[in-house]
Amino acid sequence: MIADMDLEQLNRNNFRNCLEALARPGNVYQVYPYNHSVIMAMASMLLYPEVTFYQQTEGDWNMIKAITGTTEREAHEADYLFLDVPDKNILQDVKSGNQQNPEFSATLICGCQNLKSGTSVILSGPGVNGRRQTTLPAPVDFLELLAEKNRHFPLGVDLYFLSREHGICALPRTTQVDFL
Amino acid sequence: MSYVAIKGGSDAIQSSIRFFQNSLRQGQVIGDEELQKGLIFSCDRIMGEGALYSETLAAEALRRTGGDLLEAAFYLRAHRSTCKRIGEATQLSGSSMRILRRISSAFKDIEGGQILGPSCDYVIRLFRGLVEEDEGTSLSSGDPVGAGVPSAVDSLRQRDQIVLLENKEEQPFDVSRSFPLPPYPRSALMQVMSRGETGAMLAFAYTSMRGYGDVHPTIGDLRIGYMSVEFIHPFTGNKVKVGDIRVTTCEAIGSFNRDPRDGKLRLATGFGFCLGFNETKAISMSILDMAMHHSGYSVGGMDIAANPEIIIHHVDGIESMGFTNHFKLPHYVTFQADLQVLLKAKEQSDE
Amino acid sequence: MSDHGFAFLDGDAKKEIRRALLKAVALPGYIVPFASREMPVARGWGTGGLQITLSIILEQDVLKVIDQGCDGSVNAINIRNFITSVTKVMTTSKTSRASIIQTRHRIPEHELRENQVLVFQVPYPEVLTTVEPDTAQQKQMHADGDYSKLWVLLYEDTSQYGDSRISNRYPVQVNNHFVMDPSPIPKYDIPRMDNCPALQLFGAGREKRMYAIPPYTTVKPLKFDDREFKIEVFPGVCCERCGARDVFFDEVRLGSDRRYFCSDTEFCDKNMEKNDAA
Repeated sequence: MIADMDLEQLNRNNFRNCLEALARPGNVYQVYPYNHSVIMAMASMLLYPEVTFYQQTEGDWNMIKAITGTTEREAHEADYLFLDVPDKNILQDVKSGNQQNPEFSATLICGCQNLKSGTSVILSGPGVNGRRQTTLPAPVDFLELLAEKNRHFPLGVDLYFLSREHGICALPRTTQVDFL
Repeated sequence: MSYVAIKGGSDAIQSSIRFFQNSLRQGQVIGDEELQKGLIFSCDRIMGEGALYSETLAAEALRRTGGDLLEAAFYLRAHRSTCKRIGEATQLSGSSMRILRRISSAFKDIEGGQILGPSCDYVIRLFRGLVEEDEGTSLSSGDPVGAGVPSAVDSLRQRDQIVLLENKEEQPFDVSRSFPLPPYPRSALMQVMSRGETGAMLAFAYTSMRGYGDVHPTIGDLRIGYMSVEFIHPFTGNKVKVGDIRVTTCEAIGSFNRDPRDGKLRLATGFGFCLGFNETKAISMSILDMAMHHSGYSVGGMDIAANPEIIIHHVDGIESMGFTNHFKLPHYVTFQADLQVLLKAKEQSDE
Repeated sequence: MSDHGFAFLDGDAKKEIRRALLKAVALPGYIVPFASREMPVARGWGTGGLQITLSIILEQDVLKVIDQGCDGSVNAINIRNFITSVTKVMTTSKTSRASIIQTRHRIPEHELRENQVLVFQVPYPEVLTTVEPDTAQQKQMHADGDYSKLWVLLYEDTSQYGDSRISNRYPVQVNNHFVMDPSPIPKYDIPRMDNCPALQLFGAGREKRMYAIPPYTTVKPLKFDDREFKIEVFPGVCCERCGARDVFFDEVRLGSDRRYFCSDTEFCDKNMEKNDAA
């Protein structure tokens, strides 16, 4: 099914899974890779001329720029940030919107090995039916900084974890993360 | 029985559409050229308000809608949503226009001259006499009489007698690609007005002339003509000509006041531009632009036209027409809810 | 001229709508501005809902479209026909079978489940419009959590008429933060938005805004603590067709004769099937 998908078809399938992941934190969905890369697939799905990005990953970003018409920016200005690993220093820098326009905030897309190992947490908030125990592929100090960035709702950042096994799970700024 | 009536049914829709289309079938034989040349002002309104310059589609839209201009403009807008945007054309200057008609009400004698051109201004509107046939002339391909003619308002600018509307934006805003937030960039307002419905623009501009505002405009430079649209080719980097368009531009001059930038006295001004020949719309737009950017010049306190919030949300004909017509849709649920609230309130207040 | 890709909109248009949708889900109840595209149906006729549906829909989706609770109403048929003509997806009238439900003015009676998306068509996305028309002011009031003008309206109505005069589009507070317009659904449907397992998306094409309620999110009507939130009731009424009670009804008047039928026609059909089987 994946092999004969055109790019728009790939984008819409990946978008729907991305939307579901964001709406249901803790659930893992599938991402179909583009050019053998799930990060590239996310870039192709999210980027277009009216948004900006920052990246610190392997991949043919010149091609992404050419097909999407998007501009690359510094980490503190970018709408979308594509990272190989959850990076505290970058998270520290990214924009979290303003009170009138909380959507002027950054979205992080972080790569990881898999979604099964990492920090054990309990999630709660919109999209979670009660409380839910799971693991997140990021160290405690990264998740603590994320909680700090998201302390003053509606300001905050939204985050996706992408595994090499093509899984995606999301942490919108509304999700409360408690450590076990 | 009555329950069935609530459902409309596919057949009813199909029949209604067929009825509508059949009743317009005599229009289908009118050719593109007849519409594009003989009804040029209809086509120009459709292209201007539809925000898409295509004479072919304008003629087709005119036939499909039985000449309903707003409905025809809607066809062009809807088509626009499916078109990929390739990029931005290079900036055009009004002085590059190949002029067919150009007048100034501010100065009697101007560089390039007053060119009356084709106009209905001095037509006596009586159904007498016959239209004389004169083969070979048409507005859509008329011969321009001037090019490279500077604006009649330039002389005021050179003498520092008029406000300079500076361009503070690096990139023009495109409301069809991004949502504008207040305070609205001037380019966003200009784009919305340029796509605006002629009648709405006229009505709002008119409010500013008679009591709800304080605009007493003098037309500095009004012109219709042709402009070449050019585009930098993304691969070769060369300038390529995309095509010629018919346009109307207008520069209005207003009353004077202290320029907030340096405290000097200067005249106010505003600019109007639209696709196609539509002088009423270009003049209205120049008045609205002036009203919005010189609200301090007004002595009235009830400005409608000077409020960007009013203008940006209320001049688009495709939007206001759609919403006004949506009241024809069933509102059984909300009306049932209304009745329940009425009954409860009556129990309380009629006691 | 009719040669466009899957789901009508061009790729960049979908990406803009998708950007706004993701922000909307991350900011429950906050209205996200977006560059709304013109649709081949008129503004005010569901262009916001349509843009959302066309931006999320996949070949494998099963679509249901209702207007006033009815799959057979003219506007529902028109929108459903347009969507299927540009996507070729399967359609259904059965709420339980649908993966995407686009609706105007109602939430289906049948309980929604986790893998469903409910798309609302919205005429007025800004809950503050009636008390404050200026966009910049509205944004400031949301930023400050300043809903005092709505409370004053509610107070004045309650003191004069015993209850709010708002019959539909009743203001709700989402996730204890933003107050939003739930679209013109009756008050009957408001409690059914609360903690709903399905994802609820709202599109206003003309006003160029969209917003969302993620699954399992608190949605509460704005009300005074000592007052009850009263939904529409139809005492003693049952559906003339299927016999259902305590649902939202359509009232049909023929002269002085008043008759009631289920507003949700599929719910009514299903009851009829059950009655026949019994």
